[in-house]
Amino acid sequence: MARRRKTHDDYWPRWGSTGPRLVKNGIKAKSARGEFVKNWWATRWIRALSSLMDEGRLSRGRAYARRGQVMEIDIKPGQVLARVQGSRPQPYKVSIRLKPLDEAAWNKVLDALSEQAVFAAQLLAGEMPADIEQVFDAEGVPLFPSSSGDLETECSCPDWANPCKHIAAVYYLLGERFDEDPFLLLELRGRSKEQIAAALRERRANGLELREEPPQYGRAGTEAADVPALEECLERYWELGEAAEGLALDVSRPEVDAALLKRLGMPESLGTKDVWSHVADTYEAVTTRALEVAFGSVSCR
Amino acid sequence: MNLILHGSWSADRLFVWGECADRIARRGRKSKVPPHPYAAPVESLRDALKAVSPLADWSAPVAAERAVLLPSAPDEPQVPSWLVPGRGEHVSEAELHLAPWKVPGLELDALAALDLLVALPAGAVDGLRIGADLRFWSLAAKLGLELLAKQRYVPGMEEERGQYRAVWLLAPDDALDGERLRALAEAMPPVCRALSSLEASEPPARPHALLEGFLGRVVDSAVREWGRPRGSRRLKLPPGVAGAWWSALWSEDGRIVVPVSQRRELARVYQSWRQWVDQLRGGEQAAFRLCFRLEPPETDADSGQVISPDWTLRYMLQANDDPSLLVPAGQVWRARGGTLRILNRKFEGAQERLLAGLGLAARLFPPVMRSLREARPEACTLTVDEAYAFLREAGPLLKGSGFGVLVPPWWGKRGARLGVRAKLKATSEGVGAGILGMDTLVQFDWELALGDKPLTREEFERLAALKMPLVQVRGQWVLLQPEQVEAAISFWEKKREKQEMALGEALGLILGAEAEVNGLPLQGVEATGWVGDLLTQLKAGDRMEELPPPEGFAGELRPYQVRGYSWLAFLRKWGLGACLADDMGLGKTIQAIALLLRERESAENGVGPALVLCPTSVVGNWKREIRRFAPGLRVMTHHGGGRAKEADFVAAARQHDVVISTYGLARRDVEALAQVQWSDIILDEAQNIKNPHAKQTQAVRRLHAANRIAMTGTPVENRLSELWSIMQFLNPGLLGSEEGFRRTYALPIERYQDKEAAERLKRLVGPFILRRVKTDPTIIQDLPEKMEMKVYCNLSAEQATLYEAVVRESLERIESAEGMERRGVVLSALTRLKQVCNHPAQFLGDGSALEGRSGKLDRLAEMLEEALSVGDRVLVFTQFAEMGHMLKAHLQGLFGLEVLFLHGGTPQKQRDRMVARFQDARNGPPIFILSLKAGGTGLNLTAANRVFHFDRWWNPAVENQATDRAFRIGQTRDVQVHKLICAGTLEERIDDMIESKKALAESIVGGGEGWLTELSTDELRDILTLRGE
Repeated sequence: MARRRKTHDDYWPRWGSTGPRLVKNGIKAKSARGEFVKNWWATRWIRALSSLMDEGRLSRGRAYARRGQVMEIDIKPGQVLARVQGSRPQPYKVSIRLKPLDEAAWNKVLDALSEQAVFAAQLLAGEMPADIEQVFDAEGVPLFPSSSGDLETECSCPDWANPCKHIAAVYYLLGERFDEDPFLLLELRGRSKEQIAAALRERRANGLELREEPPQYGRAGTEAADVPALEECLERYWELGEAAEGLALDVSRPEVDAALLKRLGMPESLGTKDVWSHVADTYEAVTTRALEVAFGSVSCR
Repeated sequence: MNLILHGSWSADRLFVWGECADRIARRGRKSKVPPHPYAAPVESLRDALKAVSPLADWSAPVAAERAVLLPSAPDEPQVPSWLVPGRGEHVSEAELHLAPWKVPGLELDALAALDLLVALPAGAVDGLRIGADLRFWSLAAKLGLELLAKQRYVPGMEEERGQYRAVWLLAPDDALDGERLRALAEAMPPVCRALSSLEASEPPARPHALLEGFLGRVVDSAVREWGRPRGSRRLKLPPGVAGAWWSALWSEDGRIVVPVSQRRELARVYQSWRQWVDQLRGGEQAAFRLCFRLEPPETDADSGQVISPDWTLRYMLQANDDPSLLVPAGQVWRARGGTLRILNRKFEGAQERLLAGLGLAARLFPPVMRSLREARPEACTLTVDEAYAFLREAGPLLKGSGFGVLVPPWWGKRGARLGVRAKLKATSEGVGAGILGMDTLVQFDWELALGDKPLTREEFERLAALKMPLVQVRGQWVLLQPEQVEAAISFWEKKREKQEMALGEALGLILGAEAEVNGLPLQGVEATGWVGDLLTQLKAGDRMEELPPPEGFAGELRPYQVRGYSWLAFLRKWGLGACLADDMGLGKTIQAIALLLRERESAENGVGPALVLCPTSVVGNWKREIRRFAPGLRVMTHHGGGRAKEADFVAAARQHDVVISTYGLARRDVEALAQVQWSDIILDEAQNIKNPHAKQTQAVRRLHAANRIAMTGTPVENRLSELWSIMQFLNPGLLGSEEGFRRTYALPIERYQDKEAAERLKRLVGPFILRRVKTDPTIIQDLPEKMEMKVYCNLSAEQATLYEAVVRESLERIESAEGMERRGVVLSALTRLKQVCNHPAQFLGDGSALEGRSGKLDRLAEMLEEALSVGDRVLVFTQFAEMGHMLKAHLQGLFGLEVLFLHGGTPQKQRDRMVARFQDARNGPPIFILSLKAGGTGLNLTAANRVFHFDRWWNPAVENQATDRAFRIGQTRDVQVHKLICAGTLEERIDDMIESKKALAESIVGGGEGWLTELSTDELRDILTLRGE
C-alpha cells in the first residue's frame, strides 16, 4: 500500500494561503463527484449559471458546496439569502434574486396550470412537469433564468467578478434542493407550495357546485398495545396467543416478479444494468429455493 | 427420550434448550444464576434436532449458555407436572415469581434455525415435545419463507457509527404483511422474551422488535446463501463504491470495504440508496389513499353488444381503515376547501392526495398520464391491451405501492379462462349388478370450455383470430392469453386419441384433485349413465336411500346407524372403499356387522369370509358384538398361540363368515391370510396402518378383498399422512403418489394452513369418509337417554398366565376353608383377580414398567387418544388408589399433559382446586382420574362428556352414582359411559350375571360385593375360570 502523508483532505485541491476556513456544520452537497444533480429541471437550473460564469469559478464554487462552506440558505419568494464561509473570519453574505412573477402573471400561470391535472399531479409527486416551461414562457417569464438580467446576484466578498464562487456554491446547493422538491423553484418565483395548491384547488372548483358534508364526530384512534412486563404474564407464560391460530400463510411465487425493483426503479446511480439484472436473477433463485425448502426435503444450506 | 424442546431468538441466534425429567445434581459453588435443575444436556438436544430435521448438519451449532427468566417456586423453576411427576403441583400461583435460571443449549444461526423451525412436527414424536416458544418461532420462520418466496426484500445498506454493511432488507408490504406481523408479535408467548446472556441481564425485548430482528436476519442470510451469483452467472461489478456494496451483498459478513479516499463517496451512495428505498414509505399514516377501479366496456342492455371498445380505469379515494368506503374523484374535486367529510371521517388535503397519487401512479402505469391532461380527471380510458396489462402487472404493482386496486369480480375466476371440460361416458351398462373397482375403465370425451359452457372449434378459432388478451363471449369477459391459445391448439390435436381412464383417476378428476389438463384448467366434468348416478349419490353422503335393517340383526339400529350402514352398502356396491369415522361410542362396529349380515342375506351364491383386523385389545369385543347382534354369523378368531397354521387356516376360514385377527398377525401370517379371497376386509382402529412403509401396512395391502372398510374414531382428515395411507388401502390411486400428496396437500395444509388445498382435499376424500359426531343435533336426537357401553378387552399373555395361577391357588384355598375364613379368602381372590385384570404391575406391586402388558390399559389408552383428539373431557374411575397413581403417571407420560388424580388422601383444598381446574374447559387438564370411593359422590364434574370405569365395582348403584358426577340435570345425552371388562374373566362373568338377573341383582347385590362370598365353590369356579375365545 502506498504511503500516505495526507489525511482526510487529500482529495481537495490546495488553495494555498487563501484557502477557505473550515466550517463545522456546513451544508454539504450530497453529490461528491460527477453530476451534481439528477433531474432535468435541476440540470437546467445549473446550466443557466454555467452560461454566466467562467469554468474556474464554477468549479471552485462546486468544491465549496461539496466541502460544506455554505453555512445557511434561506429561500423566500423572489430571493435566496445565504452565508458562505470564505477565507476571512466573517462569512460572506450572498443574495440571489430571481425576478418574481407579479400577481397578474401568476394568475395567468395558475389558470394554465389548472387546466391540466398533470401539472399538480407531477409536482405533488415530486416531479417537475415536462411542459411546465411553456406555461411560463407564454407569460413572458421563463421558469429558468436564462440571461444575466433574470438573475440578480450579490456577494459581500472582495472578488470583482459577479457571480463569484460563493454565489456559485449556493447556486449548486439550490439545484440539489430543487432536485428533491420542484416546488421550491416555484417558491423562488413567488408562490409557495401551499399557495399554489390552494389556488389550483380554487380554480378547479370553478363552475362546480361545491358541497360540504356536515361534519360528524371523529373516531377514536386505536391505541398502540402496551407490552406488559414479564412479571405480569406468569399465568400465560408458555402460551401461544390466539392470534397465531388463524395466521394465514401463502408460501408461493409472487404475482409479479421482482415487483419491488419495478416499483422503485433501478437507478444508474446505484448500479449498472448488469448488476440490476443480477438482482432479478437473485430474486428468482431465492424464490425457487424458498419453495424447495418449504415443500421439498431440502436443507437451507 | 422425554424432552420438551424450547428455543428463542437471542443475540442473533436461535438459542435452543430443553427440559427433561432427570434432575441434575447441583455441583460446585453457588453462582449468581443457578443452573436449571431439569435442563436437558446439550447432547440430547442435538439428538432431538437430528430427529426433527435429519437433513441438516447438527454438529455445527455451538453449545452455549443463557439465563432464562422463568416462573419459579421459591427454590426451583416451575416445570410441567406431567414431565416431572410430583413437581410444582402444589405451588399456588401466588407463590410464583420470576427468577433467572442457567440453561445449556445450542446456538443456531438463521439458516440452521430455518431448517429446524420449518420441519417441526405438529405433535409429539417419540417422547419429544415442542414448546410453545418454538412453535411461535416456527410460525415466524414460515412467514419468513413466504416473504422470501414472495420477494419482499430489497438490496440495502446499514450504517452504524460510520461503518457500513450491505444487507438484504425486509420490505414487508404494509397491506398484506403488516397486520400479520402485528398479530404474530401479539401472539408471542412471554417465554420467548425471557432469554438473556449470563453476564449481564438485559431487559426483555419487545415482541415486535424481536420478531423483526429474527425475520430480518433470516431473510438476509437466506438471500446471501441462495441468491449468490454462481457458475455462468458471474457478476460484473460496477466501478467504485457501488461495486463494493454489491459485492458485499453476497459476501459472508456484508461489510463494505472501501479505501479511505472513497469514504465520502460511500456516504453519498448510502444517501442515494436511502432516497431510493424511502419511496417505499409514505402514505402509511394517511387516512385514505388513491384507489383504481377497472371497469369493462359498457354493453347495451338489450343486445348485449359492446357500446364502445374502451375500458375504464376509475379513480377514487379509499379509506384505509374501511376499504368499502370509496369516494369517486368527481366528488373529491367538488369538496369545499379541499377537505372531504364523508360519514364520520375527515379527509384533509383530499385533492392533493389524489393528485400526488396520480402523479406517482402514472410512472408505474403510463396510460394514467393521458387523463392528467384534463383539469379534473375522474378516470382514464384504456384499450383492451392496456386493460390486460393493468390486470396482469400494473394492478398488482400499484397495489404493492400502497394504492387500492379493484378489478372486476370475474378476474381470477375459473369461468373467465379458457379451460377444458370432460364428458364422461360409462363403457358398460347395467353395472349395478356386479362390483366395480377403482380400475374399471371409463371413457372421456374432452372439449374446450369457457366456464361452464363448451366451446366449439369454430368459436375458439374465431376468438383466437381476434388476437386480444381479453374477449367477450356470450356477455362474459374471458382471458385469452397467447400461451393458453397455444395449449388449446395442441389440445385439439391430442383430443383425437381415445381417452380412457380408470374409475379411480376419473373420480380424482371429478372430485377436483386435478386442476389442469394439458396445461389448461379443468373447468368441470359432466358424467352421465351410471357414473352420473354414482356421483350424485356419492355427494349425498349418508342422506342416500336407506336400506331396511338385515333380517338376522338381533337388536335395533338407531336411525343414523341405518344411514351409515346403507352408506357402507352403497360404496360396497360400487367397489369403493369406505372410511367410517364416527365418533367413538356411536356404534361403528354395529354398522359394519349389519353390512356383513346384509351381504350374506342378499347374496345368492354365497360370499367368502370377511376379515376383521383390529388391535389385540379389541378382538374379544368384536367377537362378542357379532355374537350379540348377528348370532347367525359364524365367527372365528385367528389369534393367540394356538391359532391355525397356513393350510388349516385357509380351510377353517372358508367355513366361517367372519375371521377376526390382529394387525400383528396380519404381518406375521400374511402368507396364510393372502391365500383367502375375502369378501370384505374391515380395519378397526385403522390408524394402525398410518405408516405406509410399516411392514404391517404393506402386509395389509397385500390381502385380497372385494370390499374394503376402514374404521377410526380420530378425525382422520386432520392427520394427513395417515389419511393417505388409509385411502391408499381403501381406494388405491385416488390420492396419487405419497410424495405428490405430500407436496400438494400435506405440507401446504399442515405447515402453512393452506385453506384452499384443505378445501380441495375435502372435496376429494369427502365422499369416502363418513364422520358423524355425537354433538350433531341429528345424532343426539337418536341417542338414548344414557349411553352406556361395555368395552371388552383381551388379557395379555402375561395377564392370562397370572390369572390362571391365581385362580388355581385361590380355588384350592377356598375348598379347604370355611365360614368367615372362606369369606375372606373369596374376597381376597376377587381382589387379586381384579388386580391382574387391571395390570400385572398392580398385582405384583413391583413398580415395573406398564407399557404393553395389560390389554385393558392398552385399550384405555387407545380410547383416550381418540377422545383427546376430538377435545373430549374425560373422567376415569378406579376403585384402587394404587392403580390410580399408576394410571396418572402412565397417561401423563403417554400424552404429555397433566392428568388430575383425586383419591381418599387428597386434602379438601386440593380437591376443590382440581375440580375447578377440570371444569375450566379451555385450559384445564382434560383427564381426571378419581378413586371410586373418594370421587363417587359430592363432586360436580359436568365438564366431562366421557366416563370410563377402569375396573368394576359389582354394584350398579355405586357405579351409577359415580357416573352421575358428569351429568347435568336434564342433559344426559352428551355423556358416554364406557365400562372396561376383561373378556373371559370374572369381570365378564359377573357382569353377565348382573345383566341377566337385573331385578334379582338389585336386591342381592345391594350391599356391595358380599353376595359373591355366598356362592358355592362350583359356582365360584364357574365364575373365576378363564375362558378362551
